[in-house]
Amino acid sequence: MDDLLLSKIRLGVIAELLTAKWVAFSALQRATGTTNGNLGAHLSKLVEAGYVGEEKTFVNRRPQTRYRLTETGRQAFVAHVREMQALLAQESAS
Amino acid sequence: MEASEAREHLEMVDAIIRAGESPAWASRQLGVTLVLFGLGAGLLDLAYQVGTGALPSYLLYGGFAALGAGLLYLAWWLLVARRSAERISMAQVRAGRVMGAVWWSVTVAAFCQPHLFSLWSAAAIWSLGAAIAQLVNGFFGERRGLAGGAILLGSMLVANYAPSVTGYALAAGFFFGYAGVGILYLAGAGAADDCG
Repeated sequence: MDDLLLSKIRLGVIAELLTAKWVAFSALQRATGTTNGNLGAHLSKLVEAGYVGEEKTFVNRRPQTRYRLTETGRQAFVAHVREMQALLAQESAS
Repeated sequence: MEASEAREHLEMVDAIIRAGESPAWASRQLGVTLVLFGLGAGLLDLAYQVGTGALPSYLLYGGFAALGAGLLYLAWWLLVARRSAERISMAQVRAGRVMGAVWWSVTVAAFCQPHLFSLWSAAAIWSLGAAIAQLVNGFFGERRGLAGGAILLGSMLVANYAPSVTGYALAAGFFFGYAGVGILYLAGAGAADDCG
């Protein structure tokens, strides 16, 4: 399994980005229900791994950071979900 | 990872995707756009029906004013949404592309008047475009859009089989199937906002 996606918050971030073209930091924070610092740290890891793209912009003169899922992130997410499903199928078969 | 943990993670992913991927699109901004375009197009249909000689200027100018306001509002909406929205869903992107493709095609077809399309067929092209745009949103799950598309298609049938009231029928299609649906979007409790 993908070590990076074993974290529930990072997996939640990827799932949130999966259905969106992009999502602002504030909206991701609401969706995951975590603190600024905690989410920032998780996002840094995802950006570093190339799973998530980051774009900084200004809205009404205030900085806004937006995130989008990259193709690498999408493939990693799909593979991770398949492995979790396989684990569950194995569990129910035994 | 334990199976129970995997189940918990998968349930969370499922819940997030369900919440994030609302396939239908019914925001306040879409409502305003539908109202302005519906009124504008409907007034122009009425103008051509009522005016047997000189077209009634109040209907004509009212129609063009509403369409112009609709275009300006649409431009503002796209600009603000792109800059300030906190989230743009893939459903919005898809619906926007389909609606854009429909309206570009209809606009090009409108320029084929009068060589390809005469008066009422040119007017009906706009009704057809509006019906397709509404039905697309309807097929993504927005029932009000489905109803609007059905009304617009119905208005074309009436317009064809009752030639004495063609303009009234097409106008009614736009008033109820487009502007009316826009009002329903605006009146809907907790209408979504595309502009963050």
